[in-house]
Parts: sequence; structure tokens; C-alpha cells
Amino acid sequence: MNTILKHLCGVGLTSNHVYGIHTSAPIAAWAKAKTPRRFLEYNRKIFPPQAIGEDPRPAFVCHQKTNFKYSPKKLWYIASFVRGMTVDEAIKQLSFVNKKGAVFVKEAIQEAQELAVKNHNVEYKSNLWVAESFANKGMLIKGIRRHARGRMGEVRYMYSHYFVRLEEGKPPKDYYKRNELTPQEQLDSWLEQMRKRKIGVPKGYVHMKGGDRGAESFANKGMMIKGIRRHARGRMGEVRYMYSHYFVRLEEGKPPKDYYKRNELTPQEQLDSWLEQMRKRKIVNSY
Amino acid sequence: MANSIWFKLGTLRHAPVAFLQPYRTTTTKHFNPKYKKERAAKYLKIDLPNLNEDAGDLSPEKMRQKMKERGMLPPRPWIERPFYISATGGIFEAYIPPEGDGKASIVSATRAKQTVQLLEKKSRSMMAIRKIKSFEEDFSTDDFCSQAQNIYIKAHESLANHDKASLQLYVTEKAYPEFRHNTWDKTIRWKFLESLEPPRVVHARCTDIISKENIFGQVTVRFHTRQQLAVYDRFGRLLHGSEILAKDVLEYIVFEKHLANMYGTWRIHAKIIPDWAPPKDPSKLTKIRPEPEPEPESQPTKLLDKSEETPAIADK
Repeated sequence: MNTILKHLCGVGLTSNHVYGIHTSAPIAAWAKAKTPRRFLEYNRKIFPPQAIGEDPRPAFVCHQKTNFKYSPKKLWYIASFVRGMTVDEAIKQLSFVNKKGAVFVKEAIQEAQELAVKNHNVEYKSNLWVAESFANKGMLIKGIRRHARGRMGEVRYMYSHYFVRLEEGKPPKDYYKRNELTPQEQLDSWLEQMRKRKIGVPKGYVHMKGGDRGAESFANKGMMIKGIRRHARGRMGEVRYMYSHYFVRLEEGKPPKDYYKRNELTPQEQLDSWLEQMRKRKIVNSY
Repeated sequence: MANSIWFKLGTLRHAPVAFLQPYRTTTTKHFNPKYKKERAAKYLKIDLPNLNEDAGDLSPEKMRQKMKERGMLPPRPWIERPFYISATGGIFEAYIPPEGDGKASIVSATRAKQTVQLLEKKSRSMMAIRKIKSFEEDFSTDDFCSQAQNIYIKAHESLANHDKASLQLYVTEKAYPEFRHNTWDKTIRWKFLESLEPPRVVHARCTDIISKENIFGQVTVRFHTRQQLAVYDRFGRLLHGSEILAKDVLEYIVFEKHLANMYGTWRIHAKIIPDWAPPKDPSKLTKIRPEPEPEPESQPTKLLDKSEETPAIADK
């Protein structure tokens, strides 16, 4: 509550409400609103010259829009939406997003595009894509609202930062690694999966049919007698006195090599299968 | 009649529910408008600042009002002209390089005319050199040429290394911005390979500025050298030149010294580019041509009515 009271004094001087006495220059809460600086430092990085045969390194430009009045939580949706689009596509899409934040994002992208051509040696302004796009919290102004019984509550007026990095070239085909399959590919993968499945054998089936496993050894529940035991507060509990059956069938000859189908592999085979598995794995994006 | 009403009602029955029942699409408002004012009074209204406000868009009255709110004074106008007195701002009586220097034959009409003019100017150069010798006793044109070449190489190397402090030792304050222009995020690879012809002094002038004793000396040296230059942009992509190609360069470099200053040094001051020099190579990038500036239209001057304009806040 103390912190809120402190803000009450800070805001009160600048509010047009009850506290209208100006005795000194108001110390506004936003007088020291910070602007982020580190992101723009990437624009100052100088890369070593490339050799003659090398592919030209794609140019990029970092740009930011800071401390505008919009909720960073809402801005996140817009920032993620344009990620991985070409610049033209992003601008086109944003002009149809019916949100206040879309205007800021669109402006930031257009400014970045101009900067790329003007300062960062980009030849064609359409040959850019949104490589990074994210939102952060900006300045925060705390306001007050009334509650019942003379209490008060805090209102948070949030400001946002928006950061964008445009890179030269074409965007990757599947930026979000959604790995979308065509209908034909979907069918193929389903077929493959169906062909690979194991047909399970229900329990007890083997010995009922006489068994194709050969010899057998298994246990079953037998008779059960229920007893009584005392519990606290005059309650009682159940005791189960269990009996068992044991069945065995011996067969002539040697036992099979891998009776439990554990499929034990030699060290070489283990290594091979591990390698195969590592090659087949999919790299999933951390976004 | 009744029949037709029943018929209509019957069709209405099949209409979707949305058209029959009133329903709300707004979810951010309270459904009961009765205590709207009381609900609004729960919040203490404060002025939220706009931190991206463009100061250029504000009208002067609005700006004044804002500054009064914060108790600030308007900034003091800064009417001052920086003046540097240890270097001149240009070349006096610039050397005119003979046409086709470095390649054309001596036998040509313009070349012959220029040789005659050169003889006239030579006497003034001799006088200037004598003046320089009065300040600098062991000055000789032969020694100066090797010294000039050394300065020339050092200046370009410190430019390529982005060494601002050492560049200032070899370059005057007039030439410094011309050297550094457009180089801040570039990588420059420069190499001096050899001198095709020994450098020679072609021109010398002295001028006094402000007082009679305050004398500056300018000496033009002709360099015919072989050099290598490659300029890379911020991403290491080749912008200009090549690192495997050597080029012959013919240059007329003006060196300047503040002779009256005891601690003055010879530094690169300017470069003379003859009008017959071949045109520059076009840049590797294509660019959109800027739109031509619209011609200023002559507008009828409006009579400003002073009495109508009232400031937002009166002075008290």
C-alpha cells in the first residue's frame, strides 16, 4: 500500500483531478522513462570481408519502436504473427489487422525498410523478410481506483516496446517448423504407420489355444478368504487371505534363444541403431 | 388474410436463432447502462504522456504551454561560427595539371600552351619556396618529396585502420572530414605497391592571413604510383575495387604547413582533380532516382492580423 501511496503523490501533481496545486516543477513518473539501447547495437557490428567465391552475407537491419501506449501482452500476438513473412506480405497483412498495435508494428517495419535501403546497403527494398519480431514491456504508470470500504486498487497503464530485425533475402519456407504435409504425404505416412504396427496377442490367449510358445509357466489367483481387522474410532478393515494356482508345462528339447522377445542386440547393432535414430530425429524449433 | 400471416410466421420459424433473439457482440461494456457514471468515477483519471510525440508537429503556442507546465525556459539560440586558424579552408592559386599528364604525348596544342603558362608560374613557385626556406632552413624539394610520400602513405594507412588520432597528424582539419566521409562502417584494404615515377614538387604558394607574419605554405606534389584498394561494406561484401587488382594512380596532392607556427607540420590538405580526369566508375548498386524537387510557387502574401492571434497562456 505504501508504494501505491507514493505513486499517488507522483501522479497526483500531474492529474487533472483533485490535487491541483502546483508548488514546484512536477516530478513526473515518466521523466526517466528508459529506452532500450542494446538491440540497436547490432546495427553497428562490422563483419570481416568475405573471400571472392563466398556467398554474399545477407544484410540486416535492427529497428525498434519504444514506449508507445499499448499492452505488451496484446502486442505479442501481432509480433508473432508477422514473424517469418516477407516485408511486403507483413505490411499487407498488418493493414488488415483490426488492432491498435498493428499500426505501430507496421510503422516500425516500414521505417526499418527505409533504413535498410538508406544506411545498410540493401539494393531492393522488397527483398527483405521479418527475421525477428518481438515485443517487450515499456514504461509503467501506476494509477489508482476506488474499491469498497475506503480501500484502493492499483491500475497499471502499460507501455510497450517493439523490436524488429529485417534480413535480406527470401524467408524460410516453413518458419514455425509446423512441418505441414500435403494430403498425399499424409496418406503415405498413415499407410506406413499402419504397416509397421505390431498385432498384439491378448493375455491368456496362448495357453487357452494350447500355445505356440512351447513350454509354459504361469501363476493365477486362487481362493480368497476375507477377514476383519480393527481400525481407530470403532471402524473395521478388510483383510484378504489370498491363495494361488501355479501351472507348468514342460516340453522336450532346448529352450528358444530369445524367449521373451527382448530382441537383445550386439554392441555393434546397438551402435548402428542409435546412429540411425540420431540421423532420423527432427530438430524442433524452440519458439 | 389470416392465412397469409400464418404463412409469414411459418417462414420466420425457420430463420436462424441469431435473428430472432437480441444478442450482444460488445463484451467490454457493462450490460446495464444505469450506473455508468458511478462506475467511471471509480477510476482517478490521469494524463498519460505520449512519449513518441513529434516536437516538430507541435504548434509554437502548444510548445510554449508545455514548457510553462514543466517550468522550462526556451533554449538559448546558438549563433556562433566555429573558426579554425591553424589551417586554411581551401587551396590558393591551385595548380592546373597539364592535359593528358601521365600518358599523352608532349606534342599537342593544349599541352604546348600549358607549358608556356607553366613557365610563367614557375617563377612564382620559386619565390614561394624561397619564402618557405626563410622559415624552414633545411627545406629542399628533393627531401620534401620523400617526406611527402611518407605522409601520404601514413595518412591512408591510418584511414584504413580507422585510427583517428594518427590521421589527425597527417591530415589538416580541412581534409579530415573529406577523408573520413562515408568510411565509418566500411572495411578498407589499401596497399601502396610502388612508385612508378619519383614524386616531384610541381607547385608552391605562400599566403598570409589576417596579419603579415601569419604565413601558410602550400606545396603541390605529383604522385604517379601503383596502388591496391578494396572497400567492403558492413557485412563484408565488396563495394568497390578489388584486392587482386593493382591500379596506376596519378594524383596531385596539396600539402600545407602553418609556417608561422613553430610546431607546424606538413600535412595533406587537398587533392587536385583535373577536369580531364576520366569519369568515376559507377557504383555497384542500383538505386531509385530521387524525385525532382517541386518548383517553389509564388504565393500571394497574406496579411497577418495580429489582433486575432492570442497566445494560449498569457504572460504573468
